[in-house]
Amino acid sequence: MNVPSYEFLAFAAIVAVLANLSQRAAWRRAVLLLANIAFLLTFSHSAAQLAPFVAFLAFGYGAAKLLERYKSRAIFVGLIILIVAAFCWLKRYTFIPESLFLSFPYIAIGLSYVFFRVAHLVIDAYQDALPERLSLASYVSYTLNFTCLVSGPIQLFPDYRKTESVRPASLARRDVAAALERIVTGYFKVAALSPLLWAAHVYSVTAVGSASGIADRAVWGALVLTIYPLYLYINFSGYTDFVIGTARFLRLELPENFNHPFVSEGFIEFWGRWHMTLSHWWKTYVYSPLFLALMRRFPSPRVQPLIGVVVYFITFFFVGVWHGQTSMFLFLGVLLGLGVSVNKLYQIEMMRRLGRARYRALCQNPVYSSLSRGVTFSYFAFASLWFWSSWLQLGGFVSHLGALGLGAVCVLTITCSTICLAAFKAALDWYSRSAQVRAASVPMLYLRTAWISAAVVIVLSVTVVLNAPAPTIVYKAF
Amino acid sequence: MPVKPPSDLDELRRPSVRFTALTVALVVAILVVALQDVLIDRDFPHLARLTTDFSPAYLRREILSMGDTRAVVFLGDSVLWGYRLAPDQNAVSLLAVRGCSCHNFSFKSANPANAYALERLMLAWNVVPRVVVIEVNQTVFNPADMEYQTLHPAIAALATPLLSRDDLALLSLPPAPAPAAQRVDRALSSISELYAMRADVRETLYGDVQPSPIPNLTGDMFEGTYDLAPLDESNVGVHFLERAADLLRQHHIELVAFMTPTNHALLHDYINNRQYRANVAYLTRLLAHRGARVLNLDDAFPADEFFDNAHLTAAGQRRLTSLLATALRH
Repeated sequence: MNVPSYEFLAFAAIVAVLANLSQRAAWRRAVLLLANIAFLLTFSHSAAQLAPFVAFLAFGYGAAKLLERYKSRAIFVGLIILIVAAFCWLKRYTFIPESLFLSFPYIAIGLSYVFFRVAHLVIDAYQDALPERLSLASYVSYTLNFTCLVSGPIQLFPDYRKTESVRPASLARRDVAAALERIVTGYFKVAALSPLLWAAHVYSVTAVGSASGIADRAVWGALVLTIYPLYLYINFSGYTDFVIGTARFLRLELPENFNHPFVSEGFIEFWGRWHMTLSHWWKTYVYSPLFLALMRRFPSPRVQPLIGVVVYFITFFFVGVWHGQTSMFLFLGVLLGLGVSVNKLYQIEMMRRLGRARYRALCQNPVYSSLSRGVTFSYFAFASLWFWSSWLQLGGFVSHLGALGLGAVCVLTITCSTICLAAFKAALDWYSRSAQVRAASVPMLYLRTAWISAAVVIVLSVTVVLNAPAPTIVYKAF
Repeated sequence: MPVKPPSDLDELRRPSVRFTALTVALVVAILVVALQDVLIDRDFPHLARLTTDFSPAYLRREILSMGDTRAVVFLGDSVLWGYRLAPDQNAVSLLAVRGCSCHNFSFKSANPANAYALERLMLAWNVVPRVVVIEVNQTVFNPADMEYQTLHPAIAALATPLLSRDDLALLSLPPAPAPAAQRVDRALSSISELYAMRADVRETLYGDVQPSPIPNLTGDMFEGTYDLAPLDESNVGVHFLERAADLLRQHHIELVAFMTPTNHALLHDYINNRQYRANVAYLTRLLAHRGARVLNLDDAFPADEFFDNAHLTAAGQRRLTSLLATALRH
């Protein structure tokens, strides 16, 4: 079953009705458990296709239960290595010899997201950080939560259990309205906006190949660079809106994944706003432990900032590598690692030279912050080239543009994104301020109603015209 | 437990606000649909040829757009439609470039029944062409092939009420959807132009149905394609061809018919015989008797101008263009 799709909506609606039939927590949990298993089964045509996925889950559960009982560091490290190895093997990472892979097709839908959940449970079980003893039912329900199985968001177990069992999310009238609004907005982004942006991206990739003059090449090159991040954002944030809204009807509260990432004024801030649950996971389970371990090993205060730089690089290198199995993603990892570590180094250096107060004042300067925003977006757009293209495509792109063309593309991208994002930030600030002022205003309600009605009609029209399977979600592939 | 700040959604509790919000939703929905209709009406192009799954709405729009221009109308099948070619490479598009006021109503698997139904539609809507060019492909007279004894769903939807009971009895029409579905479809089509023309919009945006790759052709692949039984009026194709020619004569509309070019080099074992030629002669006589000018292009094209048994390459279409231009004096 695709997410988002009308089938998924129908499935979720049935589950929501069943789950809300009784106020008893045991009933809700049973319905959700069965729904999660049923949802997984929709991807599989045979037991053999399902077996590797189930084996991975079973291994994760066994590991967590073992570590709940035995706090052996050696066992813990061994199990973590085995889980990571099993994940890489099932995901067919290219550094593993092909002869070792399973020769039959099997389902790997949402495996990356399941991996994060399993690893989190295993680590927390070892550290006694889980809020309760892990039962098989809660483990299965948590790891297979159908609302976020396909592409996240990556919710942590305590947060999941909070709304699954302890305190179900409210379903008052305004919550229902807000959830519906979220679903419609999400579907609109995925079904109507993202195909348009994708078409624009494909068009500009074709156009840059046939552009002749330097101005033409610069414009099309800049469009190639900038449209894809917008497409990715609309596509993934639309999916996230959709599943957050859907989960609300099951009285589950999923975490947010995006917070206006393109207004970030630095690459570190960007990762606090983009795919937030992923960066939070890496921060919690890689960055912080590694940072603390190195701090203990090198306790000098002079070395401390540099440790941060190095650990940032390592963490985000793995964030990049996680995205795919080929050498393109190794390079993406290097670029993401460089982005955050250089950003950190720059902050340290600026603070050393200007002092904390003056640096803060500089950051608040509108021209400086706008330029920072433009550079951050442009760097992300540049790094994204390794996300969506191939070495061959990149080679063709670089050789066609030439050094002068590439320079022009950089200048144009930074300039235009600086201006556009400054305007966007100003509009966003104005909206936030006025939304606070008229939080409960009737005209605002009518405006939102009008927008949602228009979005519903447009989404239905697009569905009618396309008459195609559910729209593609880029992050489904991971 | 933290108290949520008031939200504008809380206002939904008030009945008057709820009523106004519903009205706003309805008005906006109507406005968006109306806007879509305006955009489709204004901006959706007149395509060089029909899409494979063309809709009744698009067909009506195209016929009515001819108005009283006294255009040349082409009623053919996939050969004139330009199978395996871009829309601007078929003979009708090439004639249009030469200044012909041409309208191509050809489509894949067309047949004389569709041609007759299309003529009836045009005349019912007071659209009178100057010339009608009908392509006569011998494959459509094969009584074993039911594909040639039916109407395209879009034509059936519009023209069925115009056909006599006897004519309809000869055809096996596409199965009609359930009455409820038909009512919903009709209602939605009358409300939204985008819905009514969804197939045309989709195939314009995403391309028409892709043809299968060209196989290594041998003549025996076409065994059974041409039925060489002697033709007479009991043949459904012949019946509707007669009806089509008679209707045009009755309305003083010039008819030009051409025998579809056929790849004799490929099909020589099957069609290079007396009966095939006798059938061609029969069809020529039948049409000429009804005042049609008949071009026999059956054997006029070299083998390398065909993709297969009858579909012309770009070069073949150019040759066809010249021949038709001469016949139409363009």
